[in-house]
Amino acid sequence: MPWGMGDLDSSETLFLAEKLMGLFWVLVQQVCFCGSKILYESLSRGSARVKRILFFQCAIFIAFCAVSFEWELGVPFLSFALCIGERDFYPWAVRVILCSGMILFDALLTLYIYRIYRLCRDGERSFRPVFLWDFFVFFCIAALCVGFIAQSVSTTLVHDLDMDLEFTWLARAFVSFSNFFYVPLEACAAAVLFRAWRLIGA
Amino acid sequence: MFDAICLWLAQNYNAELHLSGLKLAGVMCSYADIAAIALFAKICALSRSASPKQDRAAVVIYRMLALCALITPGLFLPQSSATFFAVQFMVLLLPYCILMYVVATGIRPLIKTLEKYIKERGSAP
Repeated sequence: MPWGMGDLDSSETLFLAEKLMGLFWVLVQQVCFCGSKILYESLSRGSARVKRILFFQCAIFIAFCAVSFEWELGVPFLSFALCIGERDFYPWAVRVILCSGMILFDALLTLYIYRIYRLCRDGERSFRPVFLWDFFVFFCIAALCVGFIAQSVSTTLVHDLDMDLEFTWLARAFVSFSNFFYVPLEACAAAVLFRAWRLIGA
Repeated sequence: MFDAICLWLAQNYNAELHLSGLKLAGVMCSYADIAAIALFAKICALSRSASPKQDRAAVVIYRMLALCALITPGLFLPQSSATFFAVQFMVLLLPYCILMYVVATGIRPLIKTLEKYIKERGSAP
């Protein structure tokens, strides 16, 4: 789940620890999402495109790692873009991106859990195209993440906010809100799983 | 409008709000996670033949999740978001490791069980 870092010392070692823990949580969500997608495709199509799903998800995880470890890898594209004058927005952008990644995979996981429950409830093996809804969820969360980063950078520059105080609290607010956004998602997943357990176990 | 919202947050969001929010959301999320993981483990257990070894594994899983549920209120203790982060990671590390174990070991039997269930349900009058 999203975390609440931010007022530790901004040393590189502690930032590295934050990134590793954030990537761990993204990895867990991705593993669960892969499991649910494989399960759904097996039940609805008869067989799952396991290699394709795993390849795509590995590529996404590598992309998250690449964005998080730009400094270490020496490939500064996002960090270059977010270093404006004397202000470096990159560290907080990484935290926001990792928070958004966790929310994205949890939302997709909840959606697939509901789809599997619906298959079991209706008793029909009917494959329905899922790309549009999946893309819609991805688009909403990506838009929120990119929109927040862009707006917070703009507000900081326009109003000349202090990076160590005002901008930091603004970025922490996003982390805190994403924690709360996570709660209804997990509650929905638990509710659907409870109904599925009652249905299948009966 | 968004600029005004960001500016208001930047000037009014503070340590007390941040830590209170993290604690409340952290505890709620942890319990929701534990409930979801326990239910998923129970669904996966439906698809395994009840061998004594697998029953023992299921009992261990539920006891570890119960332990996680007992230590979750510890998230209310930290006085800084830094220590909260450390406690949160420890509280969630175990349930998430359990979840990945259940997913890795339970998916294949679950697929067979659910396929059989859907087939039976589909052919029922």
